[in-house]
Amino acid sequence: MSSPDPRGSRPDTSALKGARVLVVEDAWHVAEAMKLVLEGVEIRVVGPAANVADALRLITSQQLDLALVDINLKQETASGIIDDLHARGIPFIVVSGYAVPPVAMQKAAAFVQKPFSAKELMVAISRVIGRLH
Amino acid sequence: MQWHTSNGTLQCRRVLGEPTSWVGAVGLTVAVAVAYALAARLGLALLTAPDGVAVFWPAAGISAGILIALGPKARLPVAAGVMVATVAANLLGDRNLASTAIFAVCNAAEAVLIAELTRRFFGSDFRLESLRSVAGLLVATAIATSLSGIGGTAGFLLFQGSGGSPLTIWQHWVASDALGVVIVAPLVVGLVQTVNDPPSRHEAMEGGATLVVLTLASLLGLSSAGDYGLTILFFALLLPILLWPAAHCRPACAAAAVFILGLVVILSMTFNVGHLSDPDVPFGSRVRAVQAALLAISTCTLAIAALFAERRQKEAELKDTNDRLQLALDSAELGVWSVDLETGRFENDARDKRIHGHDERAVPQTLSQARSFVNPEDLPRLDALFASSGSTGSSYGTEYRIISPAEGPDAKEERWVAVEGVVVRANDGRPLGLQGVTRDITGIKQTQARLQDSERTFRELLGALPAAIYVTDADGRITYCNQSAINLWGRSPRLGADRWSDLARFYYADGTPATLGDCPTEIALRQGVSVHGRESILERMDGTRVPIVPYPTPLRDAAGAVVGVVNMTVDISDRKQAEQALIERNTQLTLAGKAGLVGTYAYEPDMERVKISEGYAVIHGLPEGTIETTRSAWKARVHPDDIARMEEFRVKTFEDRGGEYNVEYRILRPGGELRWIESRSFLTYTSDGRPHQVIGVNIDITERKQTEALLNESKVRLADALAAGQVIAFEWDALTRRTQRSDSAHPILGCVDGSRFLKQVHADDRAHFKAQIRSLSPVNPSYALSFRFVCPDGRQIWLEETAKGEFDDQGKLLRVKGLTRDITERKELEDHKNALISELDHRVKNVLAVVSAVASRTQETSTSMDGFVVALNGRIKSMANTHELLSYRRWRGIPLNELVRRELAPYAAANNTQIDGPVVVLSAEAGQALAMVFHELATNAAKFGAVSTRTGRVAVCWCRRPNGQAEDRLCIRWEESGGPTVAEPIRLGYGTRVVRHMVPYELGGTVDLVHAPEGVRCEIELPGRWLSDEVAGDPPSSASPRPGR
Repeated sequence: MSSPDPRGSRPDTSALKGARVLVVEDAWHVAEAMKLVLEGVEIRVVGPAANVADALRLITSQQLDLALVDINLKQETASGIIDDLHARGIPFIVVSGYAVPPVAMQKAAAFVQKPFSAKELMVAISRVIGRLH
Repeated sequence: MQWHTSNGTLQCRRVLGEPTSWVGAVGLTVAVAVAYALAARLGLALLTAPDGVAVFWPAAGISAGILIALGPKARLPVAAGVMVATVAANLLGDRNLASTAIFAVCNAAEAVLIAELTRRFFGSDFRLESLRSVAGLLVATAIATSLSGIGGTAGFLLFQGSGGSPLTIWQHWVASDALGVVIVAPLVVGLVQTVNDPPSRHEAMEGGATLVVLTLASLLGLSSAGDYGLTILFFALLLPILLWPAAHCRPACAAAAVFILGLVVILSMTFNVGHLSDPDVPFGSRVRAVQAALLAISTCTLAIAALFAERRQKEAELKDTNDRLQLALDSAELGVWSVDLETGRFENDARDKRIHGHDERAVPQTLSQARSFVNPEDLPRLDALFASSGSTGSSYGTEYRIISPAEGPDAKEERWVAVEGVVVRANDGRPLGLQGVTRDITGIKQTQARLQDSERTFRELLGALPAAIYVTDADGRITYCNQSAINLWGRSPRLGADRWSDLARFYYADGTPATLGDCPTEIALRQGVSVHGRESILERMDGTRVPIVPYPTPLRDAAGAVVGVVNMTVDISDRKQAEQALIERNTQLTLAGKAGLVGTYAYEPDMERVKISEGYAVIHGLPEGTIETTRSAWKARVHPDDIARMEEFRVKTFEDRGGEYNVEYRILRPGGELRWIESRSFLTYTSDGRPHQVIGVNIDITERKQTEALLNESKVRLADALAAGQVIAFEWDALTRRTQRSDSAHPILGCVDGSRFLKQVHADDRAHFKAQIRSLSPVNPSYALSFRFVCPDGRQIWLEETAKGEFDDQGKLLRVKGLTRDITERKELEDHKNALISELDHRVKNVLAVVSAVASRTQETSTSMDGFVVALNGRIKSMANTHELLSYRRWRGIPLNELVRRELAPYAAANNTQIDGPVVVLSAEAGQALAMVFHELATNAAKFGAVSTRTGRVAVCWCRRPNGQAEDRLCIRWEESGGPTVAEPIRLGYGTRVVRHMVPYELGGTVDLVHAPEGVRCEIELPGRWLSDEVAGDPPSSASPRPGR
């Protein structure tokens, strides 16, 4: 993940401060990078979770404002996570290198295609969070 | 007794010859003269005293009788004969010439006058059988003799010096003449009648016998002299003797009897024989008595004879009338019946019995019995009729049915009787009885029924005729029309109210409005003339126009007056269209001829010369403008393979007397070009059956033949292609909604009929499939789509269909033709490829995301640009190596030893590395993560650890260890030794973070990294699920897990 471009117009992230965001991402490198970016704007990162079981546990146990969900989780898919989030009314952004099944897309608040820049991620998060408020 | 229908006068003429002829007239004159002279001599033999008038003058009877019998034409000869005879007879006596002349004139005039008066006032047809004729004769005789008596008296007084008073002379003259006429004239007439109508032998004998008896009785009575009583007795006896012929025989016989009696009396008086010559009685008294008696007897006898004759004639006429009535009844098959209303008695004749079937059943005696033969349904009407006739009317007539007998030839047949009759009334008007004639009118009724049937059939026929037919009255109002007429008008007329001209407007054929007076129907109506076959245009009330030809014909009554019109109108729309089509066809033909596609020819079979059209010349490649060729030239052009067939065809058609033959053949044009020709020939024959002429049409069908050949070829190719290429050709017809598929459908689709095809299309694809077919339009006439299809055996196949719709001019879909191809195999390959590409794409994207993150973190943790570049390069190279390995092995996992070897390879020297463990294949995900971990361990070892010195060593070993649960765990041990002393790092680098967190996070394993002074040591455990079973033939290591150090 590239670092935020200091010269580019940064999205206003003030609204995101303190938001509790679940990250579901099987690649440790990517999860670490996302975590760094989110924590850089004072988002409280929940997780990250690399598999369905961890993700569901966190959804159950934590208060969440948003979730970032990768669809393909090594030997699993995230459909169960998506259904659970949807059922609980927790908005989520799908982050995937794969084409996303239409059913998941209907429930998702936004989609971020891998590979992505920090800016792309922040724009997507801002848009979803902003819509909530 | 015969009933005389013929004229006696005419018959006399026939017998005596034509009196107008000269010889006949002279003969008659002589005959009359002789007869008259003899009679006159007899008359002159006895003269009254003192005036010298003849006592009897029978000559007058001869002349009058002949004239009456022969008619007016005999007037001149008789008059001449009378005058000659009178002169001769008188001159032979003591008469002088002057008186003789006067007597001759008087005698002739008297005869003529009697005949003329009788003819004029009592009819020319003088017959003794007619009382009227006889009376007429007597009256005429009285008048004529009275007048001639005046002349005769004058003659006596002036020239004869007669001694008597004029009155006495006149009386004598009249009496003698009248007596002569009465006694003789009937005899003459009777003789002529008898000659014309000879009596039967029995009659003649009876008449003859009677006359003989009369003659004898007369002679006997007159000859008994002296006894006055006997004289009286004589006359008394004469009466019955005279009455007998008068009553029983012909009047001619009575006339003869009168004549005989008269003759006897006259002779007796003249020649002084018998009682009448009694000298004691004064001559004058005797003469008067005899004259009076003879007159009375004669007239009575004649009158009685006439009366009897009339009665006999009437009887005969009555009988004849009856006979004729019966004949009429017979011929009219009329029955007669009567009813006496006072007694109720019913009588009828045989035919009436037969008509009513009385013969077979009880003959009715009363009216009520007769009623039982009448059909009960008709009885009330019949009774009412009789009742009303009886009270008011005088005649009646009706028809009724009779009850048919249960058996016999008339059984079950309804029999009809017509009755007509009169009411017989008493003088006070009281009805006494009924009389009637009956007639069997069953046949007439049946005929009427048949007539009605046939008229109904005729009307139905008219109704069914395709031509419009209507009938008008004299004012042109429709009284009848058939359905076709209603169709033609487009409306139903009000019969008896609408005029024919109210129902439509009429125009001439050129479209200009026709005046009413010039319409054929109006002409027929007003002028009584039929105007047939004139084309016109009828415009309905809704404005539509129909070309028609009317055929109006005036209807006339018996007097010839026009009482209406019957009009048949023919709708000639079809003909018009046909004519138009013909014109177009001819134009096309001409054009075709000009274009060289159609040509005509004509030749006589015996002749060599063939006349050809312009088009024929073009088709056959003859020089432009050629109008004639020869049969041999034609034969030379015909393709050698076709000529024999052609000739055979032609000869056979002639032999069969066929009217037409069609054949296709090839010609070679002068330039060598081959053309196909379709020839249609029409043959005519002479009256004796010899071939007369052949007229034909040639059509150049080369292009059609070429197209056909191409078509056939492409058909064959298509079939081959279909069979070889798993392709089905189909054609769907919009009209029948059925699909025809090529034979290849069966092996591809399994057993499929057209109606089930759509149902077998995969449910997910069906809607799309239907939508594609529905979307076909002239603008978008074709479609191509692929869809899944479930075969009857459950197998799912992929089909690709390309099709094109065909439309009519209105854009209506007629049919869809297309090809269906089985693309299951291709589809599977494609799917696999697409899956692979997609997977690769996604993986690359994920890898890029990882690389991006790695790069980002590497930069953040690097202290120098050089260090960053080297570190990043190393990490990416490691990832690339892993990727290469996975790709090489088709992503089916990475053997662990291979993975380790590759990561250590850059630093491996002679004995500084040791790799030991059973064959373990890691899944792709686990391989990638472990590769990164080993890369960081190796890099660190090379920089700071064991591999950084020559003495240092790295040992990597692993084992699979059961943990008492379902899955094994893989335990890997990294152990450095012999290197520099290791110190706990001051700052945790990115590499250390990767080693420590990567495996636990991504694989759920554990990592124990220890920076021991003797060397870095790292123990990694993975859940067994990350181990792949992919490597067939590579059995899991049989070596027992080696315990870590």
